[in-house]
Amino acid sequence: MAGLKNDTPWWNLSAAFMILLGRYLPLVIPLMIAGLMAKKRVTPASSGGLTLETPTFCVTLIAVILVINVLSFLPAAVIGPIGEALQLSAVHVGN
Amino acid sequence: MKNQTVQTMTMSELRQASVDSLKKLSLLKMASSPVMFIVWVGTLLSAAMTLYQAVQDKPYAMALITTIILFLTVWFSNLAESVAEAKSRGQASSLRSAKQSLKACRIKGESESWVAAADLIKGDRVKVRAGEYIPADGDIIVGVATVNESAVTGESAAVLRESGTDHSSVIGGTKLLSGEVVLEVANDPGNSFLDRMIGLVEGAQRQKTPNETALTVLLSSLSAVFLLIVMTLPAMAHFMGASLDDTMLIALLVCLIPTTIGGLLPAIGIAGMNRALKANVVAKSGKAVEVAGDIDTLLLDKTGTITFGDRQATEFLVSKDADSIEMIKAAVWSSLDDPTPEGKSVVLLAENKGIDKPEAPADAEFIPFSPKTRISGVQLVDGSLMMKGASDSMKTWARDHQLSWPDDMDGLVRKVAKQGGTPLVVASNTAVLGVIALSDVVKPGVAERFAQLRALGVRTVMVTGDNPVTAGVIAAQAGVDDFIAEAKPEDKLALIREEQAKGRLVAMVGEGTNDAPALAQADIGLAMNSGTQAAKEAGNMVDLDSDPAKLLSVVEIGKQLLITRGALTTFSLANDVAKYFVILPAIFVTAIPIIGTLNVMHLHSPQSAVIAALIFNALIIPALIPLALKGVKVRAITAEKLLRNNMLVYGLGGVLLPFISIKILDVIISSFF
Repeated sequence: MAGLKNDTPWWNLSAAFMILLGRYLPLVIPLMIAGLMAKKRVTPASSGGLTLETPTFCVTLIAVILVINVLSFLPAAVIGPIGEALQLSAVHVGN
Repeated sequence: MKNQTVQTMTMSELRQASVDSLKKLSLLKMASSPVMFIVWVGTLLSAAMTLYQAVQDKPYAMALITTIILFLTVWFSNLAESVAEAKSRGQASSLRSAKQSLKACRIKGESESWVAAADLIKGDRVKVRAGEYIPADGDIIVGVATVNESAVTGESAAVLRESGTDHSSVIGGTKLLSGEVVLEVANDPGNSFLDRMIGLVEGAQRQKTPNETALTVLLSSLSAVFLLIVMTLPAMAHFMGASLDDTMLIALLVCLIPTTIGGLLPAIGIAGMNRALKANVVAKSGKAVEVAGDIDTLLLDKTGTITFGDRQATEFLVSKDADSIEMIKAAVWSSLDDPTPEGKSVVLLAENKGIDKPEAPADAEFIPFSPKTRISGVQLVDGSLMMKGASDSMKTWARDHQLSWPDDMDGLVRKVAKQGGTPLVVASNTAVLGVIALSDVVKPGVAERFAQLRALGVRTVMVTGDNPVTAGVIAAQAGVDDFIAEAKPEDKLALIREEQAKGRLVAMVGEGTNDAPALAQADIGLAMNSGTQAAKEAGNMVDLDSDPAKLLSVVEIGKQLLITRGALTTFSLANDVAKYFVILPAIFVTAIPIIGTLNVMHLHSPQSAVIAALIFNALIIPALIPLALKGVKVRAITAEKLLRNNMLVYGLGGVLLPFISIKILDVIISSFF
């Protein structure tokens, strides 16, 4: 990003806004969800419940986190870093 | 009742469903499902683009094909809902026809005629004889009878119903054991409880259940996120100096938002109610079926649910003065003409002990059970008598016939009573011979079913009016987790409140008016169709077969509904992974050619790749309609195993299936271009 002038009001303000949005929103929203969850009825543990300390749950959780995040960020990544990396490597190979 | 008739759809039903699904295309109706609403808006936008490009003399084939496939996606989703609704209508009408099978002997003036029970109107007089089913709710105006109301009251002993007393009302569907009565019908046809329930099902005024609403919120937020992603793409591409095709962007959005589950969600809900209906349970709302899947504690009445409502002969106790073969023979003879389940079970028990049922001679005179004498038996031509009956009635009978009462008799009677059984004394004209023990028999398969429910995390509690000793015996046999003996109706209510206070969801079965408060308090109140009006109003489900054991099926149906929904949501999201690998390279490859290396599936061209993905996206909806309607198979395994199995099938399968399908579709499409 060599052509980017980085001490302009536009750059500073928009970057600040994006940090607020990108950093705090993902923090605040899960906290709000947790708050709502805490208000919910607590189901007593029973033999029919799901035990969380198992490989099954662990793998499921990681898979869900990965899939949701890949789905959210892959397009931007493809057009940005991944595309760039591919271009660079092509240039490198070409030379 | 027979349900086979509605299992398969006729062509006319399918045509009707197709028409209905077109009617659902109005933007207002579509707004109830945000996911499909986005697809529908995308369809309209894409159509507008097609027109614009056609007018501008630009190539418009791609936009046109996209429009058509998107339209089909929306239509398939509406079709799923319409098919489910058509099935539900079909079931309601088969209910109605099943109801008309009872016949009634109507009295008009002097004449009697047989009519269908459904044709009876309020005030009609109906004659019912021993052995017949009472055709409708009503009051006895002439006669006295014993009625087996075990399905209604849970009481296994026959009850006495007599005109002009407090006990003159009878319930439709119960069986007259002895006597002959005339009764006056209490309700007009179409006004009975069952009729109103059918109306509710047919009306199909479906409201979203809480679980469905929550899932809709999740799907909508996912859709919003994907919408944001797609909307920011042109800006980012512009920054990179590339421009993207609008049709491709719409295609990307539609492939990403969870259309599969979004399209099938209403159908899954309706199908859940349908499955309940197929089990002959009418749920007053879809919510009730769903809650049934989360039940933690089942409150079960002993009689009718765990044991047979009718008591059965389990043992012959012979007096020390009598011969056992003679006693058993006398018991069989006295029961030869006894049509009650108790009488039949005596003959059966004797057969098990190697004493065959004798042929009744034509000249034998049977003395039927009557509510007044409370004994029954047979008199043979040679004058010999064989009788059985309640111990005090038999005592009087023995005294009248100058028979001595053996000293161990009272002991035997007490012994049976102590074990929770009903003693019947057997005597011949020469001696009092012994006692038949009638007791509750645990239904076969009940213990296995409770074990299954335990695996699914559902606790069973048996409630009975019996003394703790008898209750304990039955509880152990049936394998319930807990039992409450000598329970009064208000104890049920207290128990439900106590369980709910611990955070558990409770289901119960009820029939009598005194069950109504508990039925209303329970999270699932399954009322018996043969029960009182108050019970049916208080519960949130009604079992048309009046089989209390149905509660177990209801829980399974609820679980199936929830699991089906979860499985298809997982599948729908897992599909996205493959679709990304198809569409992203296709979109960017013209702008940034090097991204073509991401085309790991070696699809023919960007256009064929996008069309293949869209076709897969559309076709997967009708392909999954049968699964949505039938439900995912629920087995009695732990939650962890269930999660693992379903994640492998619907999660991993959902990632892999589109890779294969889209590749195949791409090969087919590229052969045309």
